[in-house]
Amino acid sequence: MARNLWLAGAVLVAFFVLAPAPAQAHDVGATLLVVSATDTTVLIDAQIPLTGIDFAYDTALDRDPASAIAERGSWLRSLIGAGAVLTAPGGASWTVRVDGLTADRVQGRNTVHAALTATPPPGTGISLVQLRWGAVTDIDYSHKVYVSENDNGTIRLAGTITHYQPQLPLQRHTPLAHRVSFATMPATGFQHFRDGTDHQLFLCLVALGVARRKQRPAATVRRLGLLTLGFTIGHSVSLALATLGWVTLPSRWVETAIAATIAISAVHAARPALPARTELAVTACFGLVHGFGFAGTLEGLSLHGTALVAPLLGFNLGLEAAQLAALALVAIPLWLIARSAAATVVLAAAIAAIAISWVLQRALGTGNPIDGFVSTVLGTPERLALILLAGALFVLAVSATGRPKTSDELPAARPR
Amino acid sequence: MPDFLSRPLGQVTVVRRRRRLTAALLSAGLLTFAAGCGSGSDTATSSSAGPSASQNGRGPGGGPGGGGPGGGNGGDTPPACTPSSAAPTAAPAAAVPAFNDTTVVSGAVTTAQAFLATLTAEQKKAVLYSFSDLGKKQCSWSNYPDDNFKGRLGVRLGDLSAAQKTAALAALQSVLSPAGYAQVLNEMHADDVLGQNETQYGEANYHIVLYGNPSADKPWTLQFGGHHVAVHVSLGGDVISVSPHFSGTQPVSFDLDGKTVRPLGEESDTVFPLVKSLTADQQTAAQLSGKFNDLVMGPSTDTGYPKQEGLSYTKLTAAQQTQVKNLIKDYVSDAATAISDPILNLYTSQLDQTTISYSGTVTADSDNGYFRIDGPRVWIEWLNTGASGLHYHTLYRDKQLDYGTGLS
Repeated sequence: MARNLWLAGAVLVAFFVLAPAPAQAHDVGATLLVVSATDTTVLIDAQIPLTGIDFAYDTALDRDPASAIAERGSWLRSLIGAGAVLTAPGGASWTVRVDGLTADRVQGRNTVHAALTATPPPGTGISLVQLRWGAVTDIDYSHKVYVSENDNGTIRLAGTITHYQPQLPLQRHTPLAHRVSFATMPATGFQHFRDGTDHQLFLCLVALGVARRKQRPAATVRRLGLLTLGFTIGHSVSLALATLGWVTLPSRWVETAIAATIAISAVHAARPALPARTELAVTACFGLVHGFGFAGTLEGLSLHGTALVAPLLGFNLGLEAAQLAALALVAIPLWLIARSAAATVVLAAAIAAIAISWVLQRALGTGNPIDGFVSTVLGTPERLALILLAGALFVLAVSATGRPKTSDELPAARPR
Repeated sequence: MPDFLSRPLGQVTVVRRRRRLTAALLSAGLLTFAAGCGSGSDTATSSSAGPSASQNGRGPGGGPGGGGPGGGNGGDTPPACTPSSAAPTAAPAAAVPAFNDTTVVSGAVTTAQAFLATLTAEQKKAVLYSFSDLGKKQCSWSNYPDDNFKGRLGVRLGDLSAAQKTAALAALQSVLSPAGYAQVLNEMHADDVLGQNETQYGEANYHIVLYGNPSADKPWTLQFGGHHVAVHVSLGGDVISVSPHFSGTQPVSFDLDGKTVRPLGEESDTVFPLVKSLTADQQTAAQLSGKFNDLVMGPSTDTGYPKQEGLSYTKLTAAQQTQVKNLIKDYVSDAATAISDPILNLYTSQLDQTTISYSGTVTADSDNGYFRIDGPRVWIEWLNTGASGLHYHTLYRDKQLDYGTGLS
């Protein structure tokens, strides 16, 4: 289920980004709405084609979308907000707020991407609601609005709104049990970490670097705990900032930066050279970068606004649980590998190679010859742990055959 | 400096040989196992919405593309299709006009069966669907070309042998009037002209589908369509139905074998003068308050008909009334007249309750001009669309009889 959430998000993003423009501009463009429900609000993610707005309201937004939307932001906000009416069964209207408003592209067409948050009148539940939509359709009687619902990650078409059929009941498609909420999000966060090979590799490198320092076990565990905590604090902060819409960064550069943090960490893990305090600071900073990556995926799910605080918290909890579980899986193998300087360098170099291939792929938008192999072989934390374990046993076997002093030819790095 | 990690192992020397073997075997086994896991189970996505996630992502049900083209929020361009929730197996008996001439039905059954007989078992499977499968009928036609609309069923003319194609066109011809058949061929020729350098345009990309095994006793529907064309003729048993019928043409006029061809020539020569002839008072009554750059009851959007509005047929001059009658006839009589005449007679009997309406500038060369004929049963829409060079999108539907069953 939770996995579907991410797949759906990825597909949505992929679709928006990759779908080719029509060979000829046959399509006049429809408005696309994705409706999600949290415990207390209904969130509507709207993509409205600028050509549709221009045709209906005699504007010229399509010529220079970004500046036109910035310039006419308040007009667009009131246009979209006034047209979106949610009504409870008793007839009471909800409060609708237009949060985000950005220039976007869908299927080769310029759109304004609006995030709406609807809150029911006090004392009203959110299970029954009628959606009325008016932007563009109030003027363009032929405009179509395709309404989909995010049913715990499964995006499905709920119906079509037009000028002649401006209302659509939503309650049938949003069963209470399937809403995005605090309760459902930990599983999502857990799965998200499981799916993220890059986050797992980063964590491995942190652990490897700690093991390389060859402190006493208690100190090693303490150090690992401290660094993991730093990473967690970092990514929690940026995840919150991004999800609440306070900071937005282009996902392509965030993804590239994540890959770069892995490459840098690989070098550091092979030869931990940073002073302990600097290392902690750097790890926390890298956490910030990874947090923006987590948020990028949340955005694909059309969730916005302050109403997301509870789901966000749940998501983060799941993420942490997965992180700890992954650490438990890889700790022993890494500890064994770290005994050999050569094995550590080989492992760090392999991870660095993967990370560099990601940097190139993500920065340049090119293909990646090894990505298929990597995502298959390292597809889950379990597979990653198995491979590390195999490597660790190999190191053991080799070290056991050799001279009595095989385990470490290089002197342990000392903090400088 | 003694390494605390290696100390315990360094002291063990006796079992070293055995352990070495075990370790080597174990690691080999584990590697094999890990590789096996990799190829066996599903491919995991990379972390976030990065490039690799995009490549690997496989979504549930293709998102809201629904039965249509399939894709994310939207499906490739066109319309997510929402089929009727009701699944009528027959039109309300009262909706079907009486008819006597069964020769066209038996002729159509013969040609359709002859076409089926030319097909391989596999092609036959692709062509034949159930008559009662309304959702498939609703979601398998469009004004878009194949690259933009992936929902078409049946076989493409381009995938048929010469003999099979001849048989397919003969089946189509047998359910259309000579004028209607010529119009469809001309619309396909227009598409040949439009897409001379693109494979998605042209005659090869028109599809033929049968809903129900052609028979004189049980209803079946022949669906023929591609870019700018959607023909539905239903017959057999007591059913006659000749809609929805989408006719579009781009370009609107072209030269073929030294002659100028205008696939919707007659219709445009009626619509534009009719709207032009409206007096100021008539305009006030006929003008719709909204704007239009698409059809209202077009493909994949069976959202329900708007309330009737516009200028009553009874408020038209005799000349204007004749133009409206001719227009309705132009559309309905594209189907073989033996089955379309009873339907046309029904619409004619309802003319007093019929209205015309328009929006924008409805002239031969204006973008987004819109015209509508709205009766108790007949529904005709005309749109000048300029999105890719001015051309016409037009549609005829019957509010109770579409697809041979009606929608509810």
